[in-house]
Amino acid sequence: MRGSSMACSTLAREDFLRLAGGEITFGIVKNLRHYQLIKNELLLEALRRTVHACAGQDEAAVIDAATGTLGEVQATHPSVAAKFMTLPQFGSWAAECLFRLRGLLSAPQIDALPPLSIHLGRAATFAAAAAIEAGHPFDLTVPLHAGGFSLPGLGMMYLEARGWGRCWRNGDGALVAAGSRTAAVPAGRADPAHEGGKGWVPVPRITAQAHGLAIDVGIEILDPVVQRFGSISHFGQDEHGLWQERLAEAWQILVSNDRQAAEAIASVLTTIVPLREPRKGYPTSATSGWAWGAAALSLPPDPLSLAETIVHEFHHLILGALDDIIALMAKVDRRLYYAPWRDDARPLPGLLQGCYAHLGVTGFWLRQRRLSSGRARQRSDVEFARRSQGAFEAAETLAASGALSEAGQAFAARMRDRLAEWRREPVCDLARLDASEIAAEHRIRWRLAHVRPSPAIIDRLARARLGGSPTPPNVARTPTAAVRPHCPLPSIRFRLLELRYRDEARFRRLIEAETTLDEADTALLRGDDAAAETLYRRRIEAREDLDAWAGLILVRHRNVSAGTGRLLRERPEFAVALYRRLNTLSDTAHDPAALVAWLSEDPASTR
Amino acid sequence: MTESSGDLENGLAVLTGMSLLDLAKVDDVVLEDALDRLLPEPGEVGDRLWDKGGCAQ
Repeated sequence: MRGSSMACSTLAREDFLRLAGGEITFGIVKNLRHYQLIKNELLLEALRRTVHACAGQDEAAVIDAATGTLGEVQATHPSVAAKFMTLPQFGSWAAECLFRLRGLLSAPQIDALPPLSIHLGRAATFAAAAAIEAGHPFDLTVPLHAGGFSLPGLGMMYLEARGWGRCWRNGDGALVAAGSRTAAVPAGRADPAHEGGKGWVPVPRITAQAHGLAIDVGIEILDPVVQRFGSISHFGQDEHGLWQERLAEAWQILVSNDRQAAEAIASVLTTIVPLREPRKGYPTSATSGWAWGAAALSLPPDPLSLAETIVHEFHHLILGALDDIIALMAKVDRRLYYAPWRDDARPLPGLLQGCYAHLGVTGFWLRQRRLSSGRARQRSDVEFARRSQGAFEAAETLAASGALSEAGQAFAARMRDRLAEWRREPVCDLARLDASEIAAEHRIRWRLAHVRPSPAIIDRLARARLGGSPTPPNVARTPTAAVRPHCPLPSIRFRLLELRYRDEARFRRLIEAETTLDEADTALLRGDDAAAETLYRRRIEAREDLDAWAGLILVRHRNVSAGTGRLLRERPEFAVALYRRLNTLSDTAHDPAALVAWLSEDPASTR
Repeated sequence: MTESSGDLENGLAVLTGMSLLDLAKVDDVVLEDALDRLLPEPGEVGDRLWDKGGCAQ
């Protein structure tokens, strides 16, 4: 095969279905990586042609020189060229430039980018980095970034210069020059003589080994494209040590959990972008379909959470690569959907991505249950019960959406079947109850924030209520009304419910001593349902308070027998809308708790 | 969903094994056809950024 060191075929149907079932092997990943290389080559060539068609001669010369050098490296050192052209920075950069030139970016997005010539000139940094690693002679004009030469995947040579410089290789090695300064680029990333040498800052790396399996990841904080992931964390020596320590422990967990998957992860995850937490205690992580091999994340609080996050983000990368070669959507679907793991409303591609990531995480916790005992086992049980339930629900939504392609339909069906199989695993009652309550809290809060019921249905409910009907009419099967990308409600109660099983001691301390917590929430979390109901009701009667409604409905959910109260469980938003409607129809004060109790009665026709 | 070989239809298969130099010789129509599969449609999530923002982790 020309152009690549990776021989492979197109994707076999059985491998496609393995992926859908959460079985990701090194062999399949190698095949996906091959197509990531082809994709990025295609982006570069399309960019080159677009530049010739619609940019100036100078821009065309820059991109031609870089492409020419990369082509030369590819001819003699295909694996080196492949390494640099599959870097996450490369795909992100190429896609961004192409979108820019083809008018696919918004004005604010373009405003955030460097001038076009600098933006395009970054092609030369990839070509230079590949040529340096291959020992191939070259001579390129390269744009400077943050006062130096950024060589993607290798490091940064600071020269305190701006604009453009020159990067070349002769018999003495690689050199960079800008203004009046010239410096030698160290050969090889691990050359200790140059570590921390004058002006040269190599890409920091974190590594780990467990049971003979190694992972080696670069930390990217300088490349301009990483800014798209969020707010980049400071990464000094202390942070380096923390990440190194946590990865070492997480890697032990991952290799023990699933060696086959760990082998695949080690071959894909080349780059971590360290992020700041948006708020203290609120970890974040992300991947991009244009940035193969990169996961951006804040440092998780413990090794188990890091292992879970790596599994989660790894699945996003895999599905992104699959989506590049096989169309999973049949059409653009503008509807928004409920995802049991998100506070916002999701478009269908987002739901598919999240579902796949949670399929992976469900498998992780399934195996982790078998490896743990005591409190760790309890946590694994709850996580498993939560993830399997949420992902299964999402897979069913996907399969029923009517917007997937034939391949997408097969993928969703396989995910659903695998999750259905996993859900038959026995889980202790306590874990199932915890999982069920967290799921209920999330669904109630999400529906109150995002779903607006039909006025006609609410009128029907109001007439029944005012007419003295002992049960509500059977309206549970009415179609879901508009879903809006509404501002999410606060999630503090949800976070505390999670803390209850993840760190019970801290949970106890908080609800006993933390004075800033809402007293109704505190009563709920202490298990004092009567007090919680009274306190939520007072909040609702004092002012419009959706968060209090969510708490009140959750109290009711706790006290409704399994298999009953379907209307309130599936349509909690009816309670709020009905309360508002009754208050406009009559002068009588209506008791929110009584309304919620009434809605939780099953209609006579369904008994 | 499947081709006669049992492999899945693959939007990039036509370019398999091509180097950058090979790609430079590919006809515009073939190149754009392969690219069309990758570029976002208006209204699609073009940045393909999958984050856990607001996510119930």
